Amino acid sequence: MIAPRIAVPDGARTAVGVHAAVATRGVELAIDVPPGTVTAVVGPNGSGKTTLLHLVAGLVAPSAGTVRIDDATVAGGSVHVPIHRRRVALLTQRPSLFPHLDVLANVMFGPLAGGASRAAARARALTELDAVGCGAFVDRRPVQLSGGQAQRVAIARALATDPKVILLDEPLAGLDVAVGAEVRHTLAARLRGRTALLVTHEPLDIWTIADRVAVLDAGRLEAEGPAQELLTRPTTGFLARLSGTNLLAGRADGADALELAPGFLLRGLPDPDSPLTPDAPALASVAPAAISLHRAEPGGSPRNVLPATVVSVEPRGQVVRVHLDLCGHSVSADLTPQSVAELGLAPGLPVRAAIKATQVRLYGR
Amino acid sequence: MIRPPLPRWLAVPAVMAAVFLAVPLLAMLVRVPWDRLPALLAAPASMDALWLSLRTCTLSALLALALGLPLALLLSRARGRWATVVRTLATMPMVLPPVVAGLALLVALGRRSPLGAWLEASGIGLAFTTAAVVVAQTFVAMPYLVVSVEGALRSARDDFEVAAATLGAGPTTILRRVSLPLVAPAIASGTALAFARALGEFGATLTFAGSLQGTTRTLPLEIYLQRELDTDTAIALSVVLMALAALLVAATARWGRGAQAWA
Amino acid sequence: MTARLAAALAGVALLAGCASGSPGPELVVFAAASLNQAFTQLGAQFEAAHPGARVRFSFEGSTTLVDQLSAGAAADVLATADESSMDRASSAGLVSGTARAFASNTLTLIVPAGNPAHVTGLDSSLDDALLVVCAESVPCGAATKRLAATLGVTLRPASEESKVTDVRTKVESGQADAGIVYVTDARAAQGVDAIAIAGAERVRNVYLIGVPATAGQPALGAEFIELVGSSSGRAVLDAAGFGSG
Repeated sequence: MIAPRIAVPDGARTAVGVHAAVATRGVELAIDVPPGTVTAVVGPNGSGKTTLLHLVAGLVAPSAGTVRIDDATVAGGSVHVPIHRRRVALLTQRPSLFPHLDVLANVMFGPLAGGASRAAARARALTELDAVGCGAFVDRRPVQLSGGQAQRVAIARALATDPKVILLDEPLAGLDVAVGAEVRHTLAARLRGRTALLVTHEPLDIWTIADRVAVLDAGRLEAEGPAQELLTRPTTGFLARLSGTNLLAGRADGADALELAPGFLLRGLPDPDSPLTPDAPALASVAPAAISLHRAEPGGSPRNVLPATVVSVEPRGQVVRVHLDLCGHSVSADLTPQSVAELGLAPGLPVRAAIKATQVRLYGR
Repeated sequence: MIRPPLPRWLAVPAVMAAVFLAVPLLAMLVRVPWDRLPALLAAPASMDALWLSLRTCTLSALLALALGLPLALLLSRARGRWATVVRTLATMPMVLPPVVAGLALLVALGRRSPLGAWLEASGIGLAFTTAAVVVAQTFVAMPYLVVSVEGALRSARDDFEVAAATLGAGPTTILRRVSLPLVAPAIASGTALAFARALGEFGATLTFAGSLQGTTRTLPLEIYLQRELDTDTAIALSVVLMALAALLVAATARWGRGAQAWA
Repeated sequence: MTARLAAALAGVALLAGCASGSPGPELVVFAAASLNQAFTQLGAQFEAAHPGARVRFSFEGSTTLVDQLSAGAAADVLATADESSMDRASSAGLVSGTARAFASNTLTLIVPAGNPAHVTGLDSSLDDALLVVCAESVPCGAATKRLAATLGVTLRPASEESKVTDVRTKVESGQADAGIVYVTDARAAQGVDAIAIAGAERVRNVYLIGVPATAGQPALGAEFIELVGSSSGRAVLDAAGFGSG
């Protein structure tokens, strides 16, 4: 899918600053979103993610502090710019397409409300619908669309208004895996280069769509930074538990391997929906249970045998989580206490890590 | 999917109910002097009453819509004690005996009341006028529309309005293009219900507006008069009322079902 | 369970009460609306003279009463406000024996106290006034029509009511500027002034009384009729403004 050249002047230049509190929801945030970036917002349930979006959209007023979009204060003090004047798009799990209008009329709604002529609105709507691959559905009623189609039309409808900021609240949560993958790609293409906030629980969303990650907990900002870094070097417990798996970033080597460090390749199975592009950034995911450790070079089938150093040993009830430095990447391996004892694992010990290629998933960007 | 069936003994009271409701109506149909029907209905008094009823009820239904719809919209969003008070007031004419409603209108707008005296002095006296009929009908019929529409508005999904706002639509645009179209079936059904109530209105009209052929003697009042004079005419006119009522009820049911379409 | 049982027992007791009625005999009197005040007084006299008996009245338009009788309602006395209603009842076989005249009534004009519309009679002063009369289908209305024809005046009423008492209340409340009612109604009304109509005695409504065929207590009904015709009955009727029968 090729992203069309639609002028997105405001959407690429808008910065958002939320330095506000909402007492009734127990939220107090200080977060700045750089212009033209997609920031994934993650955190446990009730951490204030939706409240952050609502503050920016104007669905909730801050009890203290301000919300700024570019140089203008849109909320705070005695100011509260109403929702319809903020030019902030909001997409949620429900597409909320107007049931009494057909797809084209739905997408034309925004431009018409903004004062565009019918002809201009129509032309814009058709372009946006083509860009999300829904050009064939213009005459259909929302009730005739599948979940994925409806969500894509919702994306087109939101983008047709040239919003300054796009807010997404778990837009893929209601879709099944295959459909979700399609819509994820649509989002990635259409959001590129725009200012957006994406609330999600899915590491794949972060990897595919987001440039930055903001971690919220109990209504506060816990961590913030570039997506790739926070995924692979989790700084908070939540991030580490986010996927429950090891995530390693590197460059793709061929179609089925990730270069961890010069000369060290991690072979695996490429994800069919996110094929690797040679030499482009790629992500590998390995479950802690899939890594076996050896003192000496092991034989047998595993394609991946890599040198590693033990960083720490963490007993966790029935398993022991061994934190390793694997060619410069932080990974964890789960072993039984007996194995740990037999191997005599201790911090600083060099070991060989064996990983079956079938248990490594590779994702291109 | 097969649902577990209802107990069979329910049929007994249910059939009794249906028979109880149907027999008086069917008895009327049997009693109607069908051969003389056209002649009876063509009598000047009958035509005047029919035409007057249609005119006043249409006006009343439209008035109920023009005033009741905004009220329903505001009530559907309102919370707190004031909302409960207003809603109670707006619903009361529904449960009041019509003659009490007529009495209330008399006390409020009668020629001796401050309001009524002022109206009379300004040249728009209501006493014994067709306008009084419309006032009485609207008073008893509007609550039906308000209750019907407010119910639909309250149970409507609110995410459409949020979406519309984020797309840049201001409050009036949202109302015009999203909220109202979505409850259009309930509005239609509520208006039909109001029309039906206005059509059958008797007690308030008689008390407040009086009874004069062509001016204030609506169909129910004409039937009341004729039942002593000429029972056949009374029954003929009653059948016309029944036919109109049946039409309206069917329309209400059909549109009422449509009201759930977008839920 | 106890509450439900108590409620059921109460319901049965109520029904039983309805069915058995009060201890003594009950007299049902159907009388024209204009006889309200006078007959209520006579009813009290009757109950005093017949300890244990109770009199129940139904005051309606005469045509309504005859209709109810023909539909099967049971009454022990029927008193109509004109001859045509009683004739209708008799020819339909609803009255046993012959009905007899016991009072008469003439029409008069009433206006709200103070005569706000400055009405002087059945003349041009009514042109701008809101006049309310009885509908033609009731005796009072038929009499009004006859009177207007006899006197050669054209009336333009704003409303035609089905009960003479409705005309009275509309004038009492000031909603109407003038109303044509029976002399007896004018006497019983409050807050109205009566304006005599010149020539009103030319149209008299004769009141007739008889025992309906459906009477449950025909003997008691006949006794009531005796009371009406007696000197004490006559006194009550005169005081109310009725003429002789």
